[in-house]
Amino acid sequence: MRAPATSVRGGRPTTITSQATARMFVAPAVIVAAVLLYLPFLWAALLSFTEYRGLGAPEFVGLDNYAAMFDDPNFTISLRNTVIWVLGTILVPVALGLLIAVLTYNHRFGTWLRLPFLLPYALSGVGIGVVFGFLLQTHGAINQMLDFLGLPGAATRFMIDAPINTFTMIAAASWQAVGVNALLFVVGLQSIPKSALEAARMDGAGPWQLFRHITWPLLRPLTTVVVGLSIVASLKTFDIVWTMTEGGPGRRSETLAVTMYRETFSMQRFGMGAAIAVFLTALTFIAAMTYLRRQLSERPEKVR
Amino acid sequence: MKRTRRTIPPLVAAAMLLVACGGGGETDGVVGFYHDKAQWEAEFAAVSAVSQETLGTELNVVGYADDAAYDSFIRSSFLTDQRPDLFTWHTGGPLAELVEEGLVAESGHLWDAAIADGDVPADIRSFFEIDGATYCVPLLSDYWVMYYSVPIFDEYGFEPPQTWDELMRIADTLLADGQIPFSLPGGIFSFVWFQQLMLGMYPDVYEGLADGTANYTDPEVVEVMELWRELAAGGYTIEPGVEIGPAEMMRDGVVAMQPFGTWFHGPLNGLELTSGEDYDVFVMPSINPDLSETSVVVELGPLCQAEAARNADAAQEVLRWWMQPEAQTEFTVARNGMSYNPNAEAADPRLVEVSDQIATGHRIHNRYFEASPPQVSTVAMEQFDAFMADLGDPMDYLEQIQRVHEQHWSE
Repeated sequence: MRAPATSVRGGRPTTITSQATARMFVAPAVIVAAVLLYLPFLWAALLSFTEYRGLGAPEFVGLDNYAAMFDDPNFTISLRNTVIWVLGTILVPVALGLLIAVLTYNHRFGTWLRLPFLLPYALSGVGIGVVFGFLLQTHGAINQMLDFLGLPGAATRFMIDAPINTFTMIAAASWQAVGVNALLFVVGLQSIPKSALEAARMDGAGPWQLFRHITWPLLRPLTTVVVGLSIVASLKTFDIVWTMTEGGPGRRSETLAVTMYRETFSMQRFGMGAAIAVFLTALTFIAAMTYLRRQLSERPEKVR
Repeated sequence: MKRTRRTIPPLVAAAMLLVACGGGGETDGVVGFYHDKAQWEAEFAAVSAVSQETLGTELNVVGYADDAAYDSFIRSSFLTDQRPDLFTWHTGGPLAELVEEGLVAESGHLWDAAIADGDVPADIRSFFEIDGATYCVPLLSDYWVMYYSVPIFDEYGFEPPQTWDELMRIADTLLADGQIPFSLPGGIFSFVWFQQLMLGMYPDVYEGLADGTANYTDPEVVEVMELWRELAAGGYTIEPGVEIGPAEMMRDGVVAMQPFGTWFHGPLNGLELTSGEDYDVFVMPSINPDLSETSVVVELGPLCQAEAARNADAAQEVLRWWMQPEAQTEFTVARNGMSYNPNAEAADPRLVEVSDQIATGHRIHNRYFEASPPQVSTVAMEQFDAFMADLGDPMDYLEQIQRVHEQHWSE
């Protein structure tokens, strides 16, 4: 076996010149990052203080865009819908994903049982929007099916009436997200030491007690990641809404990301669009930080 | 030597960026032609082939399917030195916005010649005039008419109606028999019924809304919205949220009548439907019988030349040629539409008849989308969409539109 490499320094001593050369070699990457990532962000932030329709020069208007934004009833609707999306995405795909993971883990056909849930993940959000938009249109396949089976809701206008249209779209998005959440939870379950579960079982713990006192606390680091990712993903919801309702009818089902797009590109109000973008960025940052801080600073619940 | 080595990487990076930013642009004999009518890619290519023969100028045709993306592309291109030589746009507010920034080349002398040659009716020039100067040339012109299903009309023995009462009698008969009479266009077409009903009842108020002398909360507008609500609530129009394409609705007889521009011939023929056999058109009669003329909307898509375009001379030649019978015949026949140029041939003789009919005793208006300032029409179309969804008190929606309307005209 070869001896581990000793920490003998390379033949050339580190000099100021070679450090400068190293910086030069890093420079292209730094410049690319600055031009492609930092500059656009700064430009958008600057634009949010201007009135600009994409022609001529932006006109500085101070905080007017922000004031107008909070004054706009459409923004309030959009913010409300975005909150519904965040709550819905945590409640439905995360909870269902956990349920599927727990029920199928250690099952003989566990992988096969989980596989169908994972298949929609291979589709793009836009594809899902188009397909569900087709199924859920007024008098569409879903209405006809409910009518045929004599179930309630046959006359529901899934894409038209608010807030039903938002709930409908969350259900469509969940159809895709459940599988991958289940997969992540299974990975979490695999990391739980068997000994802890066996010890609890020998102490006479039933399935619910096992879950409540062993599995759930030990899954916590993974739950934090899954919920954190879901919060960020739901705050930026765009594709499925754009393909299913375009935020309509009117602007009833818009999310903040859709409002940002519509103000910028449909209405050519670049300043207002940028203000919403800055608000959405701040909201995402604050939500993610608050959640992660809270989760990671608390001591994990003791395994009893 | 060391100095050289230190400066190389940033230089390489800068060079890469410059290479990435450069490129594109048109070469000699090729005029950039940008449009937002992606469905006519082949039709524009056919015209380009003819322009190459006649003018020795090839059109580099670049089409966009998404309005918002196209709008943003054109606007941002004016920030660069890659201005589009020629580009399609909208008359009215959207054109005024570009003209105000000095981005569009004047075309008055081209119009003078075309009108003198009888290639363009003089009365459509006003739609292209801003503060006394003329800009762009008409890419196409389409009248807004009522399309109807010939098989359905034949089944019931209906003739194209001459009056609103006749039209409603047809609609009542169809409705009683379970056939939905009318379509209900939404989204970017949510203004259609508003436009048609306004013009049928109060064409002067329609013009007043466009130039800021009337208000959306005026009793005439409320009355129009009430009629719209009555039609939709009464089941005369299809329910909102049905995602069947308009041409497919015609083919499958989902609805009997659809108000559209005559460009609708294109998609219908695309489904192998034949004008006069499967579908036909009539001019929608006035609702108010006291109106001396029937109002008809003309949709005029302008083809504009950017001010200080790179190939300005060649681009201007294309504009001049575009209004002439050769280009108009080529484009009109290719897209199965009609032409504003009476010397051009049309694909469908029915459209020639309709345009001759409209030429006398009809009052021409700009389409709502072009007639209104973009800031107002965007909000109006959202509100019309919401109104169609819940058919609530018209005033709730009109007040929202009035707010931006007032704001716009007070500035």
